[in-house]
Amino acid sequence: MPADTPDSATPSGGTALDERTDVSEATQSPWVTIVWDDPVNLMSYVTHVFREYFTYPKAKAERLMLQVHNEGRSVVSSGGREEMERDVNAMHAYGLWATLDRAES
Amino acid sequence: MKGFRRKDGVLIGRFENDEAEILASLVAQLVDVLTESEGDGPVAHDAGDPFAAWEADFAHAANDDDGGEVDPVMERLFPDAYRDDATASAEFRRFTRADQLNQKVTRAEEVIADLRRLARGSVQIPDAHVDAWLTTLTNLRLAMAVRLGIERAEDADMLSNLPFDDPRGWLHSVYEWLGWVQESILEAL
Repeated sequence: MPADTPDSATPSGGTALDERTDVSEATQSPWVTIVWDDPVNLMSYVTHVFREYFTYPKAKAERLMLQVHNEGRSVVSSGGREEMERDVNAMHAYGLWATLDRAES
Repeated sequence: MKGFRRKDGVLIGRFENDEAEILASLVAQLVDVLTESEGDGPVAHDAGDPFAAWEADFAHAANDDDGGEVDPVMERLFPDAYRDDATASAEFRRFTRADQLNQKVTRAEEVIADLRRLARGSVQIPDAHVDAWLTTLTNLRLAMAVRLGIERAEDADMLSNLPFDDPRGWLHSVYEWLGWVQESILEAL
């Protein structure tokens, strides 16, 4: 993502463990949706998508967005395969680049 | 244009006439590319149309799908859902592409309609159209980025330093402007 967007606030520190998408315990949720970084989408837009579609609170949406920006990718949701296909489809409709994959065991 | 501000469920932005016209034209070209990809063939342009060269280049996106090369613009607008499973990706695309395409077209047409209602230098975006604007601006930028060869953030930086007469200069300026418009909408929400 381009970095020069004045709107992005710093996310709050100290994320509670139960806020994370904890895929290692996701025996009921064997698939994940991964959003990948791209050079086009604005950081503020990516945050907006995570807040609007997943209804994540601002802090979580910004944390995930920064993970995409800094690490190249982020797991943004987990669940069954059909559910993840719906999420990937939605991300594509927003113009984000997303894929689904089996959760790491 | 001046940045958007929000008032009574409507985003209002001041646009120059030519800004609104250029944006409407670009969005219309995006619609052409999307609808041509369903196989109706390219649209004819005026010889004097300044966008013709870009549009002709863009129209290569019309040829895609099974058999033959897929245009990278269409690849980016309809990406793979599975990184390592071409069969699953093809299956996913088969199920989702028509609806995705129709939604992109419908949203683009909403943007064009809002631009055509430009009155006294103001464009109004009702709350209900905000998604249409944000996603259409994104789709336009994605398509332009492919044409500009922007694959990494550094590529975009390089384009900021083009020589004055480089033909990509205009396209890059518009690409940057679209990002500014999108940022302005997001800030006004």
